[in-house]
Formats: sequence, C-alpha cells, structure tokens
Amino acid sequence: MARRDSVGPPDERSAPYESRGSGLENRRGCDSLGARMTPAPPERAPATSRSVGLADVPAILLIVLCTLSLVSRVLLLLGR
Amino acid sequence: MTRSASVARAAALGLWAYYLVYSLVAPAVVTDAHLYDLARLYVIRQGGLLHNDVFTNFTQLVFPWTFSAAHWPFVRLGAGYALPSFACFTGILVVAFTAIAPAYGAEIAWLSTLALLALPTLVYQATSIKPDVAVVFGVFCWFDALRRARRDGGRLPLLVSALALAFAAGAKTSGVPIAAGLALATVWTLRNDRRRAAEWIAAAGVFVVLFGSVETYVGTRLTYGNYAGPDGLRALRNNDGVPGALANLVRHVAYNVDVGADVLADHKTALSTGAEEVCRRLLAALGWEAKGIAPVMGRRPLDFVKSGYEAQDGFGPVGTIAMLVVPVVLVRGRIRGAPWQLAAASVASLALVCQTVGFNLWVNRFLLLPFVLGTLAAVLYLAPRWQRSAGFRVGTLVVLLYAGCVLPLYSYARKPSDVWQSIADRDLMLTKELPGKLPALRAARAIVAACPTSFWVVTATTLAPQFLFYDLLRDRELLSRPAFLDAARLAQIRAEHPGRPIRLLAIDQPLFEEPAALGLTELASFPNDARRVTRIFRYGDDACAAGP
Repeated sequence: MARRDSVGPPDERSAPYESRGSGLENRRGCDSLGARMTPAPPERAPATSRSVGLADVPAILLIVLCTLSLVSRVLLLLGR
Repeated sequence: MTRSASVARAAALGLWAYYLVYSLVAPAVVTDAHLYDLARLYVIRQGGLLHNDVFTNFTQLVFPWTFSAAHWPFVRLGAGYALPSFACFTGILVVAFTAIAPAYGAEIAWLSTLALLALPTLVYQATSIKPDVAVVFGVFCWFDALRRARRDGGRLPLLVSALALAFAAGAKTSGVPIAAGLALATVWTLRNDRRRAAEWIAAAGVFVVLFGSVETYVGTRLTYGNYAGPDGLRALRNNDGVPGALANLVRHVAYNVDVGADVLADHKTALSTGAEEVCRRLLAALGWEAKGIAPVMGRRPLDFVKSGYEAQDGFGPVGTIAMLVVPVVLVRGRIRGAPWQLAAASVASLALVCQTVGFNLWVNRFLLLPFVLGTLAAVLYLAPRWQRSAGFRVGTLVVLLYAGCVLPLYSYARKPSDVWQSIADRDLMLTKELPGKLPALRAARAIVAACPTSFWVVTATTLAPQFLFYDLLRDRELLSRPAFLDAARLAQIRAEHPGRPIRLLAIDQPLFEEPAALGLTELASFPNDARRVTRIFRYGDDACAAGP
C-alpha cells in the first residue's frame, strides 16, 4: 500500500486532515479506506463559520434530487 | 504531481465538462425513456398510480419512480434531461476523489476519476435517464456520509446516510436489496450507541416513506395483487437459484471481456464471438445453458456484441483490467486495506446481481456498482506501481485516454457530432434509436405548428414509444386506451374542449372501429411494418386556418 508520504510533494496533499492531525494520525489505526493515516479527531469549527466545500457536493446533490423528486411526485399525483 | 498525473487531471476535467454539455443539450435518446422511464410521468399525471386506466405497459406503473420523477422539471423545461443522472455521476466522482485523496494523494485521486470516466457503460448511463446510476450514487453517498459521521460526529451525516439508502431503494427495484443490506450494516456499526441507532432507524423509516417509492408498490398491489408486479416480475428475475446465479456470473464475465474492438470495427469481432463460444460451451458442459436467463429474453441467442449503444455496451479495457485485477487483490491484498475491501464489495455486489437479475441482452447497466468498485480497487492496488514506474504511468495513461476519449467517439449517441445534432436537429437526435418514428414526429410537429390550439387524443399499443410525442404535445394531449375511443367519447372530448380542433394520434395502434364511423379523417400514416402503423387523424371538419 502506498504510504501517504510517498505521494507527491506536500503542497499536493489535498486533505484537510493534515493541518489538524499534527502527528495524531495513527491513533485509531486504519480508516475505512485502510490507509495508513486515520485523521485525528478534528477540532470542530463553529457551525456558522463552516463553508461549503467539494466534500459537501454529494450530499447537496442528493438533497436536491430528493427534493425535485418529492415535489414532482406530488405535482404529478395532483395531475399537474 | 507527475506530468502523467497532470494529463490525467486535464483529461478527467475535460471529459466531465464535455459530458456536462451533452447532458444539458441532448434530448432523451434511449428507447426505454420513450416506452416508460419518462413516458410514465405523463401516464401517471393523467391517471394516477392507483387504478390507472391509461398505462400501456406494466413498467410504467410497477417500477419505482423516485428517480424518474426527478426528471419532471427538466421535461417541463425541455432541456437537461440527463442532468439528474449526471448529478449522480458527479456525486460518485466526488465521493471517490475525496475518499482517496487524503489517503493516497491527489495524483491517485485524479487517476481514479479518469478511470471511472473511462468505463463506457458508466459514462453512457451518466448521460442518460435510467435509474441504475442513481443506485450507485445512493451507495456512494451512504458510504461518504457514514465516513463523515464517524469522523466528525453530528447528526446530519447520519441523516444523509439514511436518505441515501432510501433514494437508492426508491430509484430502482434492484436497489432495494442493496439498500436493505447496507441498512443492516449501518445499524450494526451503530450498535454501541443505541440512541443514535434508534435515531437512524427512525430517520430511515421516514425517508423510505418519502423517497422509497412506496406508492408504486401500493399501486402495483392494487393492480396486480402483489407488490412486485405481474407474476412477481418473474420475467426479469433469475428464477433458477444458485445454478442460475453461477451461469449468470459466467455470462457477465465473458460478456465483459472488452477492449473496444467491436465499437471501433463497427461489427462483432472475433473477441466477442470467441467469448460467446467459450461461454456457450462452458455452460453446456455444466448443463446450465438455460439457467439464469430472464424469461423476457425468450429464445434469443447469446449476443456479446458491444455496439456502442448505451443499452448494449461493455466497460471497455478498464473494466476488463478490473475483472483481472480484482481476484488478484482478493488473494494477495490485505483484508484491512482499501483495495481488498473495494474488491470484496465489488464481488459481493456482482453476486447479488447474478442471483437476483435474470440475464438478458441489455443487462450490463445492472453491473455499474460491481465495475465501479472493482475499477477503484484496481487503481488503488496498482497505485504503488504507478508511483514507482514512469513506463507504467505512460502505459496506464494510454489505456485510460483510449477508453475515455477514443471509444466514445465511436459510440452510438455520445459523439461531438451528437451534441451538435441535439442543437441543430433535435427531432433527428430524439429518434436516433427510433428512426421509424421520425416521419410521424415531424408530421405531428408540423400540425402543432400550424394548429397550435389543437387538442390531441393519444392512444398507443403496449410497446409503443410515446414520450417523444408527449414531449412535443406538452399539455395538448389526452391519453386513452383504444377500447374507450368510440363516437360518444370523442364527442364528449370535443365538448370538454370547445373551440379547439381535435386530432387523434394512434401510435402503432389500430382503432377498434372504422375511423369514418368515428368521424375521423386520416391526415397522415406512417407504417413501421405490416402490423404497426402510426396514424394521425382529424376529428370532424374543424381544419385550422393555417394547416391540417
């Protein structure tokens, strides 16, 4: 398995984890991907300061699709 | 990042942008959209789900419709028909990228993204209207949400994971067993926190009611007496148990030995013919020739051609490599490693498809999940070699660019010329899989243009493509079974729509009475073959000033 350190220069590491982890990565062993690094328990930012990022896109798309579906089904069953 | 990785990133972004444009401009091309996936929206709008008396095919009522219904705003808009599927595909790519990048680096994440874009059947489904890609998206969203719930805590990711499973189950019948299994797995992971487990179960229950397409099951029960459909959907299932599943495994593997040769050559090549022959001989030796075949396939012979149609293509060389690598990963990989877990999930989902879905010639889209998981397993397993060897990087890139960029140029409906045709001659693109319907569609369009206040009675035979006409008529239509069309009913329709010229469109459907006796005058006739003729009639003598 590729060690995280061997992949690309540091500036290519896209994970937000490293900035939080600071040597705590291996505390909980392997993560669900089985990779060497499992992120340290994150410092939770206040909800108001959290911005939407790439990682939020799937959930947003899911909610949008479900909303479209629900509204459409109601309209269709009402004959609209 | 290596130069190879930069090329992979540029190719992945370019392909994603290209398919986004395609999804925005292309009409619904695949035949199933016209038979049921989108046609059903008009059928259900008029007749509802319970006691519907205008449906022409059981598929319009029986199949779950959560994902089909999400197309309704785009149908009304007249554009972006494939955007729901493309949204699902984008979600799959993002989940894969954001899961892989932290552990393997951005380089391997981009490589994985390009590998998924190099699976022809996945890309064709991502730019169509069928619900198979929605099931995969639901599974990926579930995984992503649970991962975030474990990492960040909080209630929202758990709710999203429940929503994702309800969405997968509501999108397609084949999503139900997958969602059920993953729901059990979720509860198991939450077993040490009873409060959270109870919350998750409650949320899942609510979401299943809202998004699990419960209403189609109720309608099916009222119409057919069971919750699955006519004869419990026996026509589409594997009805032969484990022997049928094993026979299907042989067929799926043999069918998906694919290097893109058929598409490039525009005919079935020796590779597909040879795979057919090997499959046939092996199944004959085992006595399983007839096992696992969906009854709907009838006595059609095996045909392993990869035609470039979205309904009958393979997963290309990347899918073939994934099939070869997955067993190696399972034998040599670490059980706790991501490649092994992805490979195991791929095999498990393939086994589920083999067991539950009968084999027929258009079944490859059911294999999206096994091939997506298997491809990711192969990429992660081979990642160290990519990082070590410049030669391996170049070779990998050549395969990915060939599968991702070259093969679609030879596809049936995903070429750049198809994008242009979608803009320049929409009807021609719309009927690409149904060329016999183009003259009738053009004639109907001319009549609507000449007579915009016309009101259309539409009747269709069981397997008639309908959506292309509904997409044209847009609220001018009233669907009716032919048996209900007598003189009294037509007079009633005229009375209910005073001042509007009445036209009747019979799609491959003979009328039960002589047209003249019903007061109908034939305006145009378009034979498909000796039995199937599409006709357009005028009712009475209310010709439009500008046309027929």
